[in-house]
Amino acid sequence: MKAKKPATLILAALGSLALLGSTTAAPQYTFGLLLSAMTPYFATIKSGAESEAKKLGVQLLVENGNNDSATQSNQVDTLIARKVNLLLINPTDAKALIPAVEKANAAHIPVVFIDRKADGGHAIAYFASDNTQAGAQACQFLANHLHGKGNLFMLLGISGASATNERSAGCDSVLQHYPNIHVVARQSGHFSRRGGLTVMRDVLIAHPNLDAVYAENGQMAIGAVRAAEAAGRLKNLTIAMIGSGSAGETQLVKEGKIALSVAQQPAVMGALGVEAGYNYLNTGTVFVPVPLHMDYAPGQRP
Amino acid sequence: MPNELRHHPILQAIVDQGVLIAFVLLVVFLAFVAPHFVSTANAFSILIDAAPLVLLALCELVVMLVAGIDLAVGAIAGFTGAIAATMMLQGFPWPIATLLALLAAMLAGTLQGVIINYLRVTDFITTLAGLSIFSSLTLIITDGEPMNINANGFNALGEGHLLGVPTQIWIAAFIVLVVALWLGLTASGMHLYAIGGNRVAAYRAGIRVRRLRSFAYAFSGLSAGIAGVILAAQLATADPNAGRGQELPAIAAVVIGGVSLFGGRGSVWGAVLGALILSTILDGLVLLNISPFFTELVEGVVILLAVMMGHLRKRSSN
Repeated sequence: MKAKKPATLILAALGSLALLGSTTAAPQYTFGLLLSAMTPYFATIKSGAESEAKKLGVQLLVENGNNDSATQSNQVDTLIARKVNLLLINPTDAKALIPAVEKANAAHIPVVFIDRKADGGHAIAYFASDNTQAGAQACQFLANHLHGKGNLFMLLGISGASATNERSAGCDSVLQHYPNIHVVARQSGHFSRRGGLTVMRDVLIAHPNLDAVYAENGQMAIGAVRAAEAAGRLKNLTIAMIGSGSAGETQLVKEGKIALSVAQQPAVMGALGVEAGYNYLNTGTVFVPVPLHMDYAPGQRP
Repeated sequence: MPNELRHHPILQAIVDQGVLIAFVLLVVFLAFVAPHFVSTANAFSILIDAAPLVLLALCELVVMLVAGIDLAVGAIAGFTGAIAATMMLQGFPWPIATLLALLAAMLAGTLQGVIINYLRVTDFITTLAGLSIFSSLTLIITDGEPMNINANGFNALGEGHLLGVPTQIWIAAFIVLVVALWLGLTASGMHLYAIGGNRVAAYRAGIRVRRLRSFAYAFSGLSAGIAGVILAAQLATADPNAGRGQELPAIAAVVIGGVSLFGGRGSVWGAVLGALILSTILDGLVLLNISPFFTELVEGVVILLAVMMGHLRKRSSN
């Protein structure tokens, strides 16, 4: 960091020299980042966006919507009033945030959707991972690993959340080709570590012959691993999850306790959102896809 | 006087048998229909989940006895875990970190009590603000990321065993005993009932109403803190969202257990039974693999049934 400083200073100096002719100041953008909540996953989006913003010299204002659409709509209003140059929105709700996005459109403030989108209004870009594909990949791995036969527990996310519905649909679309894989339980762990722990403990009791677990996020998978370890059943279980690439998750994959993490990349999403917004303001164009990343435990690579 | 006698905890406990009967019926029903319901592992599973809920229900019991409510208990639980984890990361030995975190929780509760009773902001508003403030402080402390806890001694509080029984069950049982003795045998315990029954009369009888009500909130903070320690220890993690939303099951538990929202009526026994009923239902729903869409529906129906049963009891005792 320190070594870079003189170079940045020189660049900044050159920049201001170049701009002297046009008598305008160097473009100092301010972006608003509206997150639906502040879970570990969204915190990772935030840190990815923050580091990219720092790199580009963009000032980033971060708001936490607390999973409440009214709160988030107000935050959009406030940021419009502050005349930010760009809004990165991770909507609390696909429908409820449409008016807020339209207000931003009317104020000519470009909008980028991160991780989730609103069903209306105009956005210049949308960065997210394909939830349906993630669910399908995790369950395809389990189906192969079980050789098409066994007892599976589907550890679901928050009931009714789009991420839950899409991931489950992806998994189900694969499982329908495997009549001998029995989904013995479909229960929600509410996307939380404690939820994964408590539900897994009960499912292990109800199903002494459980073979595999499909977890719809990393936090629940970590909880499930703890429950399985405490019950002495982890060795007989294959766990696949849709992860976020956090340190805790990666560690469990490395140790082989979780066989597969279909890892979303929230930090990349945040960074790409800021980068795309910056490029759009400077050049008027945008394009970057977010790939999914397959993170296999040792010996699990097909 | 006869009115006060009817509110005596021992008589109250007898009146509360209706809840016990409901609990027994629930257990018998699940024993027949739910596979593996009757097993040591499952009994422990229910009790492990009930332990933090019982502690949060005790918070609500004590403040409801003085006609208050504490919406911040879940937030204070999460806050306590985050403080303990941070201090352990700073190199404090775990017992000291835990004690200081519990002290912070008690201070948080005391602060709420003082604002309510001396600055005269209503219980509901103060603790609603507390819910927001302590949830936010937890996010700030953890920076939104789960904080790992490596102190084995601390984690044993949530995942260890003592004489074959999980540690958190011992902890919850101990606090239940302490509160039962407090409410049943000490003057200040009796005074809580008196304040809830008739605040003005209690004041005229020489009870220091504001001080005792503040103390009820201090206890609520402490008990919420202990629940927070258990929640953190059982995952070896201070989760930035730990405890979030847990005030609602806690309130549901005491309501099911026959505690009055208007003060002066309720028992430790009822709060514990209410928490056990909720944990047993959640356990049964998973064992039976009922769709999670139905969970809250079942909880809502149980709360309504319990309250209606309570009304029947009250009418018959009049």
